[in-house]
Amino acid sequence: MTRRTVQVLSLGLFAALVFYVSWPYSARPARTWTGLTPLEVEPATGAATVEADHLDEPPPAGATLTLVDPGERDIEGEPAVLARVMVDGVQGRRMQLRPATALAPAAIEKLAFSLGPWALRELAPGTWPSHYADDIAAKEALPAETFLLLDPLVGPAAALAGRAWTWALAGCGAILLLGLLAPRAFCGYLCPLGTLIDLFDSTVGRLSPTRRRRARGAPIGASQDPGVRRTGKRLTTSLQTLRWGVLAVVLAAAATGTMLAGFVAAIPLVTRGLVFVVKPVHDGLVRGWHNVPPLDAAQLAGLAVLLGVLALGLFGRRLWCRCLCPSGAVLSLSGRVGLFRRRVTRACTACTRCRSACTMDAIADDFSTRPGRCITCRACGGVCKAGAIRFVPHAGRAADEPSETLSADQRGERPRLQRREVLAASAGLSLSALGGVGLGWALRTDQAAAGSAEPAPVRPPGSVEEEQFLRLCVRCGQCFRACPNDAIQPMPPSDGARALWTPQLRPEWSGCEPSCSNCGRVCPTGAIRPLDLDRKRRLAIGLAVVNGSTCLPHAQSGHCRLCKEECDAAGYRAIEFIRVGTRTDAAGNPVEDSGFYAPLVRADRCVGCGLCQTRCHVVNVVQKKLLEESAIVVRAVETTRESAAGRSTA
Amino acid sequence: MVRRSGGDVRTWWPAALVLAAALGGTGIVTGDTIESTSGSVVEGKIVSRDAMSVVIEVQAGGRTLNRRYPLHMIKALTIDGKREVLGAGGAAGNDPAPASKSRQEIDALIAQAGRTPPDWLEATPLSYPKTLDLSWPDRPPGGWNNQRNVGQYVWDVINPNPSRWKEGVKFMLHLADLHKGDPNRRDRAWASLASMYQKLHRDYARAAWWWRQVSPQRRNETALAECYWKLGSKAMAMEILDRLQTISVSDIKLLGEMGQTDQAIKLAGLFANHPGADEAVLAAGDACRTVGRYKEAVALYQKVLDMPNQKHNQRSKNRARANLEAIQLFDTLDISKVPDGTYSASSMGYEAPVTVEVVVRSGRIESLKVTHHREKQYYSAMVETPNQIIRKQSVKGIDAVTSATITCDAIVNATAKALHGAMK
Repeated sequence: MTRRTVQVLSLGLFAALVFYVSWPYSARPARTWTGLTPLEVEPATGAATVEADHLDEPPPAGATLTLVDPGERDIEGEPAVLARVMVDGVQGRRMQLRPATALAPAAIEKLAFSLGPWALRELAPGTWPSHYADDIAAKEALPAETFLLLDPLVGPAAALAGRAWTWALAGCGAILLLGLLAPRAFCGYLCPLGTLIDLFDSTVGRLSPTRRRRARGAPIGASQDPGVRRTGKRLTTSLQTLRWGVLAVVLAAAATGTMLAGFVAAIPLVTRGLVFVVKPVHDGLVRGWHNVPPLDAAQLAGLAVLLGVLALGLFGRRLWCRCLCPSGAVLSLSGRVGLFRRRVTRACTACTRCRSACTMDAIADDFSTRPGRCITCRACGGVCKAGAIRFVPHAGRAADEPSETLSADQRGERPRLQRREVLAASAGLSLSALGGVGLGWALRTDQAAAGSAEPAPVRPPGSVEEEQFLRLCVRCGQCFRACPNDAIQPMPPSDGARALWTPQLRPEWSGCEPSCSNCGRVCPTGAIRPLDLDRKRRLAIGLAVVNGSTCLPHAQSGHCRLCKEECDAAGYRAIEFIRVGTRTDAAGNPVEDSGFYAPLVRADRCVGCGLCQTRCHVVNVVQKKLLEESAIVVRAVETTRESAAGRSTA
Repeated sequence: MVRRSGGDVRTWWPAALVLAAALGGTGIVTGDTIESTSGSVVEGKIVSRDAMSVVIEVQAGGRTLNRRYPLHMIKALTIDGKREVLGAGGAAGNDPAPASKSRQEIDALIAQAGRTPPDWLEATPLSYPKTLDLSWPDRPPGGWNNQRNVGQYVWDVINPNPSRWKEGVKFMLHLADLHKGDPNRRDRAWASLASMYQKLHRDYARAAWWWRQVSPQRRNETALAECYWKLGSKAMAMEILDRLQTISVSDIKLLGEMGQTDQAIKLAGLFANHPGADEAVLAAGDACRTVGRYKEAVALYQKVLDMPNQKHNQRSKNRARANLEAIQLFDTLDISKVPDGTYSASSMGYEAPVTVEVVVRSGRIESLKVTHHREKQYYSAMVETPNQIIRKQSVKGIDAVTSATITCDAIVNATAKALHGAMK
């Protein structure tokens, strides 16, 4: 398998995980078959033959479903359950139903004396739906956040900043182990950003004038003057040490509790950029453009960063990977002890083809391998006419070809560092680290930069407390992709650098789906903890607050029941009505129908999902223009509390 | 199945309750019936009977079916207007009131309900605001305060919330117990209990039991009559109504629900130029609508709308307008009278109007599609609901698509509007 094949497969897998597995809209709610006329009920067992008005997609034979009588409802509005039944067989529009467990005589009598129409439900009345959560669970053979877990910087930065264990550390360990076999193979084979950069470099990038000059053998800042050329070469070399500086800044800031990895680490950067550009287009085409939130500064900024990284390709191949990528810098560490390494034998004719082929500038003037740069792509071996380049196990080289190898230096052994270089490197790293500490401190203390969003953002369900959330969130954007209806959206630059791109509930666009806990499931660092649905439905992320002076019924300016309808339909039943403005007759008795039913939020039941706010906003504010802003808004809550849930969870 | 509350034909829940009760009631039983041991009834034509079972021909889902019932499930039969109770060992007794339960049966039902508390009562916690004045004065001092005055608390907080209805009963039982030595307050608690069982829980046996406990001065006779009718004895209900000295709008409502349409219209006429005429005529209109006398209903609703505008009759006018529209859109919509053509209309969906385009050819809906919408989660509603309307050639009785009820309602309402607007 060639490297290109592996790259394409890896990019394909990455795209599948982000764009197929994390895509929520393949979910279908539990089905209901309505309009069933009971033709016959067997008096001994209650087995029934029913005929449907139409049956396009019959339930599978053997399925256990709930048979209900929609004509008879309890005080909560749920239809009466007749029996749990199994589908014995389907012929045309007719179905044979058999009670799943033996029925009491009274239940059989109820069946026999009901003439329908009945309905069959996959979901028993009063139970919570779970289709969004079920959908991703069914698709997730591999965790949707696999690549994010494997980014070698995500784990260490999150663990350091949050002082907490994260599974991304294990992913980092796995990739470092891979690096022991083949140095920076992750960059050369698996990294989707690296593959995109290769793709860009070999298509758009090759057309740039700078690259053309360089293709003729000139390094960055190339000039005909040998003196200037030397300067240019030094510039390239010093630029390539920048990634260590970036890494030092990120880790030092993490040590002070500020998460910067999200801005520059390879996988979060590419995930976020792609999510911000592919998601709106995909959703727009498939689900209608009205379902795409308007493009905002946060998305533009995320996209700009990705485009900027790709645009570096105009100045040199894999310039990002060579000079800036801090994730690559982490891998350079393991590259120094890699088991398989590039070797150059005496057959080398010094033709320099390999140096032109190398996208990573990993080949020194003497054709030896520069440590920490080779991504084991083996392009050099492919172009070498003399067959002088081999990738062999580190330990085996002395025994295999001792007499044929070049000098120790040319064989690619670690070049001895000059004292001056060591000093310069130490100084550079120290300065970067200091810079990182300073930056981290500034972001954490400066109110303007430290996420001064007012009111405090409502975080997705399962989020850790706000300070820890800011420390752990790598702004990868995966949660936005997994969220049905874009209930969570990235915070814009105007809310401060520290909060940039972190997810925030945007109830004026959409509320949090009760049947979904996808965001926590795809979060790579545990900023949003994975929650089972039962827990998610009880964990409050906010509290809905009614504005008594604008809410139509409270202000006695109109009847409205939108928020309560939404809350009841979702199953929380956290909004009650209270009568306001009741008129009394002469005897002091209330006048029937006088006054208004006004919403009252029960704090012990509200989880802050925001569905109420969405409805009030889209109808009363946007559509009917009755209000300036939603009369019910969700506010963040200080401490997460568990609500006393509405529905049963059977 | 379809909530008519979505979109423009919005109904208010107490009205919805009344309407549901009116439409869902047993109505006038005309054919043969079989009553089950627990009181369920099927109606049709009894076609055969043997020592083991009875076969009845029934109408269900637009089909004619023969259903066989074993004798052990059957409590009583009505054949050609003659009711026969199948007692133990097949001992049969005849009942003078056809297709109705006897006074003894009704009394037994009520006594049984009075003896046993509802199964949920024990598990329901006693809960009420501590600020309530449990001494419950007849005329509470100060203004309206639903956190201090018991009756106002029940009215404002308990009644509007189904989730508090059980709690309300528990609270009233507590009050009755608290005031057991005071006949006046105890009476009010009992009347309140009866009213809760009747209007909120629709448990007519228990409601009747409590109404019977209440002293005659405080008893709501019309409410008790409704209980008797709901329990299966129109005769007992009529006996009360005929005895009443004064009439109120609720009597007209009950007569209408019971199918005594002409009597309801006649009583409403007595209200002419009296306070409450608007409500009385509205109730008469509802009575006509219940039994399908749409023309008269429309005329009565129009009469309400034509009354001079006054502050107190706005509610009746709004309701008359809504009912009038519902009749035109749904009850009297006749697709065969719609000329060939393409018609379009909109109705409010989740966040914006849903617009449909309906093509009619030779009195049939040929195609129906949603041309514009901004719905978020509609699943199969955009396809399934139009398909169902075309299949049924009707906008009545359309089943909503799971998790997309609002969208379905909007499509149905918009289609009804488009067709109504085009009707000759």
